[in-house]
Amino acid sequence: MSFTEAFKVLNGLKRRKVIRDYVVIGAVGATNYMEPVFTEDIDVVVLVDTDEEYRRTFAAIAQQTEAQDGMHQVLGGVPVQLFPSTIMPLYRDTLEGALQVRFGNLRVKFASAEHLILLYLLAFRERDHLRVRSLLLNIDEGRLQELLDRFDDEENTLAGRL
Amino acid sequence: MKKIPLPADSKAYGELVFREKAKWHRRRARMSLLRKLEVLDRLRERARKLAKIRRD
Repeated sequence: MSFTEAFKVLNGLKRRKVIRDYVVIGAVGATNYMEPVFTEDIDVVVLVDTDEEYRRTFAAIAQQTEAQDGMHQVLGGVPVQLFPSTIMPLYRDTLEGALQVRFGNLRVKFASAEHLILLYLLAFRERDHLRVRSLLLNIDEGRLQELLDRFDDEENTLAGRL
Repeated sequence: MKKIPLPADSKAYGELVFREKAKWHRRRARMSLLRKLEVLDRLRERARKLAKIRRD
């Protein structure tokens, strides 16, 4: 029962083509760039193109998981929340701009620090402020600006939260 | 080296400690992802034990 086990299971689902692709976001995603931040679960965005594909994919995943815990699927003993990439264009972009990270003998796509910042600015809970501060230490400012230009609203709400 | 007792409001200890603490945090941020995930595993395990103690 470990985070690494959960990634092994996720990669297995990808290898067996149950899921087409996925990217890690949330606290585990941020941990790639900063000090480990406590979390109970893994948040991932799963690539789907339509609601129909979403239903099909998630039903197939549910059949292969150990258990369900609320909105989470338990994989490798860890609750994993799977967000379809159709929720918002930023999710899709996060997947397309992801970085392939190698650890142990695993290769997993992690959200870029700039995408994580935008996702945290959207959620904007108290703990998100601290994570944004840490992530800002090592980013490509031009890339962050480009993402803000594309995904911020007319009132520049996200930029205003920086 | 002669030991001099530090006054209660001494910065000598505080500055050293904060400098070292900042270094420690930077080192933790540079750890390999595999080690970071092991830290998360330990934190998660500890949280489960704490939750059990709270329930008991």
